[in-house]
Amino acid sequence: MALSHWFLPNKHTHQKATLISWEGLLIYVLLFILLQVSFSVINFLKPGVLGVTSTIDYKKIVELTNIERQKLGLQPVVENSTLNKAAAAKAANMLEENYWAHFAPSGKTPWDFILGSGYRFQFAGENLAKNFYSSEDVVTAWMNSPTHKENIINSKYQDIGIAVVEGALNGQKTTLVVQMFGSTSGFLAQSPEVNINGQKTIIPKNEYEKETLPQVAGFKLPSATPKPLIDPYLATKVVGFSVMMLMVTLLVVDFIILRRRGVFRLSSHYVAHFGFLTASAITLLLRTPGSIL
Amino acid sequence: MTISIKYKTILKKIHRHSVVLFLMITALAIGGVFIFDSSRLQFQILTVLAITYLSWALLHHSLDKSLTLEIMIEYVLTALLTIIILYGTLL
Repeated sequence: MALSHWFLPNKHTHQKATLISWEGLLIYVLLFILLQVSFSVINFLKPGVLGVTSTIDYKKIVELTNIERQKLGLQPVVENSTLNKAAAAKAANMLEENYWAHFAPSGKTPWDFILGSGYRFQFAGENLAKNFYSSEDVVTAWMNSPTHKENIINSKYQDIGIAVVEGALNGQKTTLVVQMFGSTSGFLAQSPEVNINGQKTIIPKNEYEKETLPQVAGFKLPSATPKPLIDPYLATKVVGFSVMMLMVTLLVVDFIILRRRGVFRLSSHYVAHFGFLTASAITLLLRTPGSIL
Repeated sequence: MTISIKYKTILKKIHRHSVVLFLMITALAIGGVFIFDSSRLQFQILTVLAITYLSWALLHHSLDKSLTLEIMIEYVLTALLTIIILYGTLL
């Protein structure tokens, strides 16, 4: 097969270029399935090889959080070493038990870590983030989510604790950010309350009076992991966007050449393909990595 | 007889405006992607658009009397490819 037929419609039969024919599309689909499967296999066999490299600084997150509060005329929250310890214990536990949630599979709750560190709160809250590139991305994502924003701009909070911890989660190098808020004022005036993802939980008295958890007393943060070799998010985004753009370009070329030749070919609709591929490419471009909880 | 003629007229009208209709739905989807920041919601919007794209293709080519297996496979594979790429980046 001539090289030109991969990119241009056939001179004699006017068939579509191979790269936009159904055979070409099938090859792309199989290649992307293979790519996703390879990522899963690498995560399983060589944990830490894949992952996102972040430049998140916990001081910057405190600063950005206070900027958001000041915009609304609220008092800034003050960094609290006990809450920092609780946040670090939570992050270490997430890596140890390999989960991405507010509640651990073993049953540990966010307030277990806060109370376990010795912080006796009246009001508390927790925000989580993983795999963002920068501190700005983390705070922006939280501010765009009403339930997380509720914690950031809650006037009841006085203290903040942050942990930025790197480690392997589900086999992938991950940067976890745990943000904990708290307030001890009005101590025991009413039942202590925790805000997690917009859900307010009243802490039962027996849980509130529990002793320090051993996990909080002597938790171990994972040792520094080497820089991951491949960022699976970026790889999928770059390759995916390139394939979409290649398809759009070849469809335009196909349309122009057939017009010039004055040939009619029974074919799928160009405009529908352009519309659908453009919407998908825009979505792909707009996305940044990372998720919040 | 009259019902049949009316039905055909409606179908002809739908066919005439189907491309514009699909482009309007696509523009709405792009707007939704800009408005909603949640990646899960963006993925759901694109999945609905993919289903609309396939339904539109089926309807358009049926009315056009140009529906072939090869043409339909092209649409299905394009939709599938896009969903796989977006699944790898959005979820």
